[in-house]
Amino acid sequence: MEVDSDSEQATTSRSAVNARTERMRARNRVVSQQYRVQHRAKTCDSVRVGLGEEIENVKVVGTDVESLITRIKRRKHASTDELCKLAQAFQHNEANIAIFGRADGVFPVIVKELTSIDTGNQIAAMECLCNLSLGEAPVCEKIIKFAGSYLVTYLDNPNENIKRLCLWIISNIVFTSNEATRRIIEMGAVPKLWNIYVDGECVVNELENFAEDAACCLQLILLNKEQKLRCEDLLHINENMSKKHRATAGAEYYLLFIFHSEIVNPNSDLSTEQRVNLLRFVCYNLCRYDEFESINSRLRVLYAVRILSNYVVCVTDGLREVITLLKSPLFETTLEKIVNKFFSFNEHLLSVELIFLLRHLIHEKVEQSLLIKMYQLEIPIFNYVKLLRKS
Amino acid sequence: MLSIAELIELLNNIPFGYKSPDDICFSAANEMYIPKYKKLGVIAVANEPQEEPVATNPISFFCNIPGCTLDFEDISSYQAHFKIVHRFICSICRRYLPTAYLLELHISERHDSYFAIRVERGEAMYSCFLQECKQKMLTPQARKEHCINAHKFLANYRFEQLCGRSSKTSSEMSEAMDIPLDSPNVNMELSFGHAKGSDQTP
Repeated sequence: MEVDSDSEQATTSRSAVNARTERMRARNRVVSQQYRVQHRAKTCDSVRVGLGEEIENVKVVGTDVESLITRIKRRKHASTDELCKLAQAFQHNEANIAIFGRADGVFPVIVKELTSIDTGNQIAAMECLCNLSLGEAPVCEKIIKFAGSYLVTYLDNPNENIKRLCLWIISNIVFTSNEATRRIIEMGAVPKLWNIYVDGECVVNELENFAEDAACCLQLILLNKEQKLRCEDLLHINENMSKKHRATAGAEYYLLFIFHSEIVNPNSDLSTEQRVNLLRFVCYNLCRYDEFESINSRLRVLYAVRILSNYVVCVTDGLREVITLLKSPLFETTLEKIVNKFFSFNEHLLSVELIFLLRHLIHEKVEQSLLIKMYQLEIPIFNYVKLLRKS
Repeated sequence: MLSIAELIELLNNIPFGYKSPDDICFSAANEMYIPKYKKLGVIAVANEPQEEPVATNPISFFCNIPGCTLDFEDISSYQAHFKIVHRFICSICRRYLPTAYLLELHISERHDSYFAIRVERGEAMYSCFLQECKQKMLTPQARKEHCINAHKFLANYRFEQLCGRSSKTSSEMSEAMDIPLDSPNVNMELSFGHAKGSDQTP
């Protein structure tokens, strides 16, 4: 009897478990079904659009910016609707941006909405700032002054829309104003941007992939000759340079960042791990790309050549390391083949960069002692003297 | 093709050595090959449904965080609610913070007694609001000055009030909590747990 009651209890509990499992399954099915429907039917796209550009199916209603400014200043609050109207007005016309930029006491209201706990208002305030950043340098500097610290803070925000809008605003601002770039560097944006950039490997879907947007910001900051990075920024990039994988999103910008942050320089003390990773990245770019048409391959090839050129000068026995790695089963090629491949693109400016590289590979000028077989090189005839003088 | 002699002659005219990214020899290629950036704004556009939405069971999504009774029609509004309201919320005082790091600062500075003791001892405990900056300061005021001077933060950085004790220092707080023993109103009876409320007699 005891056995029977035990088995009865076991059967009852098993059926209860089954019922629970079935309920969970049914619920999960409904959740995923709803998710699909939601994403197909009801979402709003954030369409990127230039100043004054018209988009199909979107009517930008003429808005009196001055009356909106007066209203939100008086109430010290802006509704989502008002913020959206402002965003549209800024996109529509630069005069609207100028009016807003001249108004006193209105930026703190936008910042207040930016830091509220209402997601809708936060996103609308972000869109408003994003379109405001289409304006001239004084407006961008004002954005950084009032909202810069929040933009940097929100780079760690879990909300994808807010994070992405932050990156878009920063890239617009950095492109426009040197002063704003200096301030955003001081606010510590570079380490955060680098973390976002190298984090691309562990993202599960495209929605959470911010590497390309972060790469855009970093590119604009690093290519700005007026503003140099702080020592702590360079140290952060140096310490975390090996985290980026060569096949993740935005990897075409990686060697550009390494080159322009001067990670490889005569005084640099790269660890073995850093050197191996960097060389693998360079050799991958050199071997993998057989065309020079797309932006992706142009950036990869050009900067691989530049980094390699500096690497063999700055690192003792660097050239031998490169040749050994290229011969390894990972790549199974030679430097001569790679150089000939790039010369065959018939790009005169790339050929000049390759000549710079050859200068560093063949510096003893005695063929027998070289690691490069000069007779195998197939160098197209350009007017190099003129090109070198030009550059 | 260039002959070896021509190549060597050409190479002899090129200076050898490290080339900085600002070197003029890279300008033309930079101009040619690096893509130009175009400033773009953003407009929210409602997606038109491609087909009629599939009829679904009328199941609503309820937030299962204790104390939150909200329910939602769809998964995305529930996700948005969760990320904003519950993701980085202090379980003690229910304050919302925008990032995990600021929540960590808030918890240690407001609710950690070990932190308070170390501050009392004179240790530099107040971390910078910027996660990547490793500096620690003795007081919230010193941190505020550091953030304004070093990182150009606003003087009225809104999340400061949520993280640190901006209004009173910890020593002021402990002084305020000390009750003078000769005070006539001191009730020497000790009680644990919840106070009895407003019906306590002096």
